[in-house]
Amino acid sequence: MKINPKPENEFDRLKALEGYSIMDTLPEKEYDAITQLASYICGTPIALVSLLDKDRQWFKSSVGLGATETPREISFCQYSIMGEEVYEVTNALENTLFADNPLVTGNPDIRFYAGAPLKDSDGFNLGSLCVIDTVPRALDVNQKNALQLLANQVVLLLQLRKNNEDLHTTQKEFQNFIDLSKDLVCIANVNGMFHKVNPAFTRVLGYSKAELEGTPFVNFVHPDDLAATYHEVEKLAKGELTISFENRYRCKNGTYILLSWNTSPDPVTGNLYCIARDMTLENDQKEALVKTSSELSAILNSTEFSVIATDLEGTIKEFNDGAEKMLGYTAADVVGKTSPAIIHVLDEVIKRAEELTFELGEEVEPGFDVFVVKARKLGIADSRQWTYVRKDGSTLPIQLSITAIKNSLDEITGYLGVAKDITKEKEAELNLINSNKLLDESQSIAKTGSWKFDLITKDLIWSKGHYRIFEIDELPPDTLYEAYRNMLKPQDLLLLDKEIEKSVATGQDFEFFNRIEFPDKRVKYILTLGKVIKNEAGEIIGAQGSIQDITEKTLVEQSLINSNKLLDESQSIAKIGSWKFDLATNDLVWSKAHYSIFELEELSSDKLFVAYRERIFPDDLKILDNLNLDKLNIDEDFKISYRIVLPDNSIKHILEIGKPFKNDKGQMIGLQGSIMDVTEKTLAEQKIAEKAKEINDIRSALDESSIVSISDKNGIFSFVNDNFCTISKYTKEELVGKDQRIISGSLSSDFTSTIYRTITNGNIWKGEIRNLAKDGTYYWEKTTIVPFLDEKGRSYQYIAISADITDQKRAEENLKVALLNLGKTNKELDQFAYIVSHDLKAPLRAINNLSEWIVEDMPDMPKEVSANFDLLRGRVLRMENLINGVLEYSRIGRTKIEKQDTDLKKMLYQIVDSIVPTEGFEIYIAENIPKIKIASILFQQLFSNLISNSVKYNDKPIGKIECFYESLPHFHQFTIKDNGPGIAEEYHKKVFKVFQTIEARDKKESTGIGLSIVQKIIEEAEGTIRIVSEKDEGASFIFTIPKEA
Amino acid sequence: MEESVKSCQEELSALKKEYEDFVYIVSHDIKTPMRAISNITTWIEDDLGSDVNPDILNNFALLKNRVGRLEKMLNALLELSRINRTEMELYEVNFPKLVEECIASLDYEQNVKFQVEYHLDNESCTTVGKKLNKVIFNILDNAVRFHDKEIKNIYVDVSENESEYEIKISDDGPGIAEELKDKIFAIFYTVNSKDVFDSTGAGLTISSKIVEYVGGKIQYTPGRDKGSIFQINWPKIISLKN
Repeated sequence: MKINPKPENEFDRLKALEGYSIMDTLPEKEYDAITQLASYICGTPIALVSLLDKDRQWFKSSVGLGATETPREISFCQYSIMGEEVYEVTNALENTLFADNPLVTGNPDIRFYAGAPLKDSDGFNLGSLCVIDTVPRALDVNQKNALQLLANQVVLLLQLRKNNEDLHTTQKEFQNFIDLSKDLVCIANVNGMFHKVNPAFTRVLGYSKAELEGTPFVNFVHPDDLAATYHEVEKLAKGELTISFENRYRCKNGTYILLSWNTSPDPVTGNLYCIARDMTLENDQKEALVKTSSELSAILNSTEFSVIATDLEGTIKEFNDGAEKMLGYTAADVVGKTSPAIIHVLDEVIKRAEELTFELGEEVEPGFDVFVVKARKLGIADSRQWTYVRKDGSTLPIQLSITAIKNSLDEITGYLGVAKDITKEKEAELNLINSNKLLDESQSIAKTGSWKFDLITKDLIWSKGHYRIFEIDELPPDTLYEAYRNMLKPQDLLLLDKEIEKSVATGQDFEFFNRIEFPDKRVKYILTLGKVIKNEAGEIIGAQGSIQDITEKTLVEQSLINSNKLLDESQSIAKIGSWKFDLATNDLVWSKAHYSIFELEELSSDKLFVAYRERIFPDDLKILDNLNLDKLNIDEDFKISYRIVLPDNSIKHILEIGKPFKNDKGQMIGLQGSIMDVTEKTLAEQKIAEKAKEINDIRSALDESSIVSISDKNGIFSFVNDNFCTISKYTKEELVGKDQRIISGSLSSDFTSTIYRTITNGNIWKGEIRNLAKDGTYYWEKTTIVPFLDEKGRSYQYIAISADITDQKRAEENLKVALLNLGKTNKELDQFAYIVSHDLKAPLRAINNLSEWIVEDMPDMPKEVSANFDLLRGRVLRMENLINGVLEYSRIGRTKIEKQDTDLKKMLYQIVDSIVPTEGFEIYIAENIPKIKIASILFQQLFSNLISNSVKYNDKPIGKIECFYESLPHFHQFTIKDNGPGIAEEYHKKVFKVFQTIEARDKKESTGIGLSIVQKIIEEAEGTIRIVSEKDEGASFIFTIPKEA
Repeated sequence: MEESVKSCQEELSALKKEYEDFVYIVSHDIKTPMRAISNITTWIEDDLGSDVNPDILNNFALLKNRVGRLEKMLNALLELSRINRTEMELYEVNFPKLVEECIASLDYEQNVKFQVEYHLDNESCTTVGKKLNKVIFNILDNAVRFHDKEIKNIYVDVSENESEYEIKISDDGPGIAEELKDKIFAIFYTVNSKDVFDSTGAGLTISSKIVEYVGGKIQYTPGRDKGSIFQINWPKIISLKN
């Protein structure tokens, strides 16, 4: 295998080649002349200027060859650039490096090659000047020298090109610089005319370029400044190299502005190069600054904020009353002497510096810049919490807002830090944390990662942080994209593709929010941000960006929104306004912020006092009126709070701080001070109070209703409530500080270790526990144990909330016993009934058998004796039937009989077959009698009893028995109708009683238990039975049973 | 939960009532045909006279025996059904006197020897005397009747604790085989065939029913050298179970 050689300095060589901007340019005749000369001198049909970049050789000029480039790996020139001398191949077919080269085996059939390297002044071989023939040959020494000389000419051409290119760029840059300069730049010729002016002239003075160029520049100088200007210019004639002066210059609109000039002459041409700067603004700004700072200090000195102004380097320039009170330093201690470093905690500054370094992506030193970098770079007020250190070394938490102080040119001249003591808010916050652990989560640090995506190859690269968030191992770039997509849900994939499509189409930034579900069901919320990457041609070839695991943020946001918004409200920055009141005229002057807090349009100072009083909540006016001016100590602030009512009837809470001010004679002539919109703060405080009350209420309600105990992580009681003491029969003193095993010690260790495992893992345990009271009795509790977790998610204490379920448990136990008894009794009764009937039947059967034998043994038995024997056997039979009946009756309902699908019509036919005599009866069984699921043995008994009754009591020559069925909404209804003697109304209930027969038993052999059985079966099936009958008109037994649900 | 207990107890008492109904129905409603059977048997006996084939006489004697047994069984059932209805009078009973009366009313021969011991602070107590009498009589009667020895020894030992009298009646008779001792309190159960000892097998049933009814306990344990021990725990204060 052939190895394609590469120069050692290949990387730098390619960069150098790029610097010539030669690749893919149009043919130029200077290069063509050299190749023609080379072809002529060497006598070859082909000559080339070949330049080698990363992948190809490109021909700047060629003679005798159609192609403009070939791949580098088959080029001959790649060998030429490896050396210093002419590289020659006399017969390519005999050279192992080239024998199978496609340029040799095919078109253009190269046999001979000679190339001289194109070495530039930095020593890089950019390519070669080469000559090529289709027949083998060799160059002589002169030809080789000539080829090398020509190659040097090519390099000279390249160098020239590059120099031109550089010059052009420099000129362009310079022109841009002049054009974009804010300063006025011009060239004036020896005659005092404007020769060239930059666009700043037009911008500042308002004249067009044409109006200025060719006009004497003194034409625009203020008449009063002319003499001075001439005087200055004359200095040039005396040999001064640079002059600086100021004069007033007329603008097109007739006004004058102050220009500061710097002028130098060109020693060759005598032209003047002039630069002028508009000083008007700077002057105004100086004045404005003086004014503003004096106002500012006046306003801020009367607030309870600490206000510290510094210059650009951080030296304190202002230190107001509020700061003095808050920090214990006097203004004299610090102004001009130190930076705010003395009132800050070093660790906080270092930590913040690290955060900012990360956030801004550039190194931020832990110094003054930490405070102002955001205000300076982003132009925003940087507001956050810090700790201030007082002169006496004590600390306090504050909310510090830092803004840049700017002049009217928008240039930063210093910084202003306004700080507010948030000790109270912090305490409130701490209270919230204690009662409601949500805030812990809100303080967690966001996790981030970064990524880069190649749109063409679909290669995706992730940072380690990115992998950590997605919790997968690192993957090669070509498989990562697929893996990433596999982790997304289908709907998120659609969104992702849409977002990518949008970014590719518009070049806009890319933003994508999704959820990832991990195999263990955890969910993360991920925010992906990205920017597209473009190539030189402006085509989008990829994207890069960052991701952020905002799970906690999202969750915290959700829960914060859900549970309370207190934090937001309590942390918002208070708005302040200032005012001044003249006691003599009742004139009132407000700052803009004051107006905006009161939501009033600006008013003249004589009307404002009235408008002010109208705004105030009627009941609160007396607060103002009670302000006794005589008693106001001239050196002391007064502080009042009141409410104002806005046009939309909303209320704002205002804190006003004021101070009398005196005239030169020391008389009090007015009041001045500031107001602060403390609505949010006031409302927040109210809400905190409400919340605290709510928590207290819940707690006392809980105390009232439940058994509550709190134990530490070792199970030692730290709190028990009264209910707990009542049920456990211990006193509080006997429990607090003791191991909770005092009451739970009797539980099995398996059970307690299950509980322990659950709650130490931070989970809530619920269940029923049997605890031991002091007197040795047990009580049952239904208990919920909730672990309290610290920031690391570890349980540090447990609260157990329980209800006394001892009675319920006892009832359960009683029920268990009762059920057991029931089962036992049921079984006993069944056995008893069986034994009784069985044992009673044995002698009966013996009597029956014996009487039969006696009758058989005495064929000549007297008639009355044999009649008595018949009688005896009849009674024996009746008694047996009775016993059977009673047994059956007693069994209904006590033995469970499985229900089964039963064809009742079929059953009825079978019953009729076995009971009804074939003659003397007409039977009708309705066609619609259904198949239903019932205890079929019982229904067999039921129908048998009813039908046999009808047969037994029939008194007509032809007995009629009819069976009907009707389907009611929730019931099956059956009717057994006969044409027998009927049943008189008074017997309708009685017939269902055990052993009731209407006729004497001797008349109809009947036990009287049949209908009792019928009724009991129907009652067991939750149905009803009734009789419809009149005496002598037959009877209908109608019964219903519920349909299966 | 309480409702379930309640409904469960209701069902239980319904069952108990049903048991009583059953016993009552059987003993009362069947009495009518029973009396008829008994009467008819007497008529037949009168009509037949003694001038018939001895085989027939023998059979008829058997028939009469079965009728008699049936009647006894029904009477036993009747008695069972009446346990909580009749003879509920509370009166003062003297233990030695009560035991003596029981022994006196037993039908026994000279070879039966009773040994009675009392460990009582007070030999008198107020209780449902007729019931106590019945129980002691039944157990003594069994002890005498099923005894298989020439000389029959029967021991009665009465003692007391705070709440109960403990009446121990033991004998040196055949005892009861281990596997049968759970059955002896069942109605109509007899260890031997009813033709060997003409017995209804209701005595122990009735006795245990009475003891249970007054809130006491009766239990059987085998004696040291064969024989039986019946121990009755009879509460001093009678709490009647319904």
